[in-house]
Amino acid sequence: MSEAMLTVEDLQVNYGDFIAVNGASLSVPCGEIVSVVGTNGAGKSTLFDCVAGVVKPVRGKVTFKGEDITGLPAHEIVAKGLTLVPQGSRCFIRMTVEENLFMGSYTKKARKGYRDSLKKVYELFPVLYEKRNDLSGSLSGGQRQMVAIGRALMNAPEMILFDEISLGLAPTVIKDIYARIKEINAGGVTAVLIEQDVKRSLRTSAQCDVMLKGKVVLSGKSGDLTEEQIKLAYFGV
Amino acid sequence: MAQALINGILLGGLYAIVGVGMSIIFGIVKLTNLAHGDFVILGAYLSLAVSTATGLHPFASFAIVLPVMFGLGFAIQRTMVNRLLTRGDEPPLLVMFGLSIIIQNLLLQFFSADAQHLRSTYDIGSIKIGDTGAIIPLMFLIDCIIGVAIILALNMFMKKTYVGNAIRAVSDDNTAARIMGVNVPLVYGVAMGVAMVTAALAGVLVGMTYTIYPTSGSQYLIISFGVVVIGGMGSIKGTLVAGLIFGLAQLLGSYFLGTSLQLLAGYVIILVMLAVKPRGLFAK
Amino acid sequence: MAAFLTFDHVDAGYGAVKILKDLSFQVEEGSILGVIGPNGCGKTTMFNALIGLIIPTEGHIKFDGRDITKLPPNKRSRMGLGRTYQVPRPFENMTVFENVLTAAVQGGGENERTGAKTARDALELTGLLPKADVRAGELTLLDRKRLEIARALGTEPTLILLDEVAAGLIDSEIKDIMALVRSLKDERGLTVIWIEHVIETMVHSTDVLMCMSDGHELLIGDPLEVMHSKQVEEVYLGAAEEGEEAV
Repeated sequence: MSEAMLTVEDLQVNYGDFIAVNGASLSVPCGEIVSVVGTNGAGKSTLFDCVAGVVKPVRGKVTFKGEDITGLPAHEIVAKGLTLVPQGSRCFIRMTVEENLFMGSYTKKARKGYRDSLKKVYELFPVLYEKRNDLSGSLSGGQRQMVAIGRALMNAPEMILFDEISLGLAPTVIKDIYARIKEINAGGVTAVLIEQDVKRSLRTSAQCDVMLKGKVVLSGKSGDLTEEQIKLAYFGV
Repeated sequence: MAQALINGILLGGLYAIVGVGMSIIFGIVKLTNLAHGDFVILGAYLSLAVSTATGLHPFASFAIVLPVMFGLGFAIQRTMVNRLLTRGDEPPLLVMFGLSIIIQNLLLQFFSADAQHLRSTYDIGSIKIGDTGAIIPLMFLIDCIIGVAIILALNMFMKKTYVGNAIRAVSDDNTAARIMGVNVPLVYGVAMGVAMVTAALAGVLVGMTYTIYPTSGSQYLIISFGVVVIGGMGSIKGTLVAGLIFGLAQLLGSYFLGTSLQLLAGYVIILVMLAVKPRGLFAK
Repeated sequence: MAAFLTFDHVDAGYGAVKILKDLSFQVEEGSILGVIGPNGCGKTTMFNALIGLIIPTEGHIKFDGRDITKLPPNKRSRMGLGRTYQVPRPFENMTVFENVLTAAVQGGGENERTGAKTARDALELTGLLPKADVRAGELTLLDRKRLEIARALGTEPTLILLDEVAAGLIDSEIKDIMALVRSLKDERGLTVIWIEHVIETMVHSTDVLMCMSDGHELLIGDPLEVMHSKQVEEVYLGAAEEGEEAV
């Protein structure tokens, strides 16, 4: 495999004295799609919130493109080309679709490319162009996810973390969004899919990491992992 | 009656600019700025000091007063309020209350308790409307035009610039704004700076229109409250309509009930709004 | 022997949103039932229907020989239904003992004297007796979880509902909690219903495991057998959809 774009070493994240991530380590190769799966409460979202700078770690190290980014604030990490699509889309619901996308290009580097990025996003999601003047709060769940993904793309990132984008969406919508993610990846963006739906993420990703109780307990090429291995890692029994 | 209507409408523009800063801070920092009225009066006194020292016209004093007030707002937010925001609602509230007392006493110290007025030639001018007997007081007209212009400009700033959009985005979803690259504490500082600038603009207009005292702040805090409650927190356009309603309520109240009940009419409108539409006319 | 608790074809939800769909299961007296299922499967709604926060639109809930479908929460509590909260919320400025005493007097309807004995017993069982005079706000997460259980015991329940009492704990602490839950059954003869995401814990410390899916009981039975079933695997890991590769 090629060189790693993101590495996480022995990361621990607490909420008060609640240990959400407890010594997790993983590595994401350049240009790949990696899926991170696990049951609810396994620590997946917290791990990547920490990578993106939304929460601070207690110990451990996060390296992005060879640079130590541990504990940096979120706005500095996004400026380095690592963008999070947060769980539940978290669009700015009182702003229009286009204003949301405008906010996506907030970093200095991204502002110059605003026009080009906007064109690309509208090509990828034509429905967003149709609804560009609508408040994002008035959109359907699937369309809001598209806004959230488009907003992340506006930053022209090298890596996107997708946190449970399929949650609560209809299967046909999920299928469509996954197809877009493959397109985005083919365009050179490294992707991490944080998912509960193991089978779907296995089909999409080159590498799969399984989390259990705050740790990464299994990691391998998606094609090499057996169902038994994954099940054991996923449930712990 | 016609005169009360004219004055009420024109006053609406002034009230909108008095309240808009409070509305911004309500909507974005989620803070009830109890010192907002004093910020307005502080702006007026700063202008007075500049005019006295340099002989500049009150409008020309903006060149000095506005940057100073922006810096002051930014500094207050960054050094005092930001670090308290994680500790619940009360500590920042108390800080602003404390600031209110400090400002009032500093003004007393430096300017005495005497009435002051920002002098200009507009005070005495007026425009007659046909032969109805009603007049448009020139200063009221200027208040209204400047007030409306600033509200519209502020609305453009919020919609068209990165900083303005960032301010709105933070008020919508703080965390999402952070992962888009927004430095939230910095934006809070800028928002407070902008609120202070609007307070200063309002203060100068107030000082040119009426007489002011170091303790006048509470009167304008109540007007701000009224505008925020009627217009809806954080809605800039709402403040304009709310200013109009509040201004009309006061002047018509004064016309029908007598001057002594002018303030009461305003409060009644606030109470009715709280009972009927507690989130304001333009709450989203 | 008649079941201690029965859900009989229960439908329930919030307004127009139906979450529980024809849910049926039984719990034997003195046994531990574990409840698992992926996010959104209706575990919490089942819990709320059981303690009386929502009233089912269809079906019946029977507890201790009585139909409690429409009984208000406080009456269920007096009948012996105790619960813990997912996020522990003790009165932080009161001591551990005072917290449990409050539960006994307020929730259990005892006077101060009998309540004090109940509280002491609850603290002894949960291992909190040495910390009886510590302020609740100073406890570690593990001890706060223990206190949650002690407070539930204060109401002198016969059936106790545990909501994610192991969440956020490290392995060694989870073992302590597992032993404590076990002792609720062995030493007090309590019936336990336990919701948890940490599946490993559930397999090793429950008598019967129920996996829910889409508001319905998917499978009930021996914990290991349930975990190794094809149905449960599909609910968690997703079904293999053929031809999806072609997108």
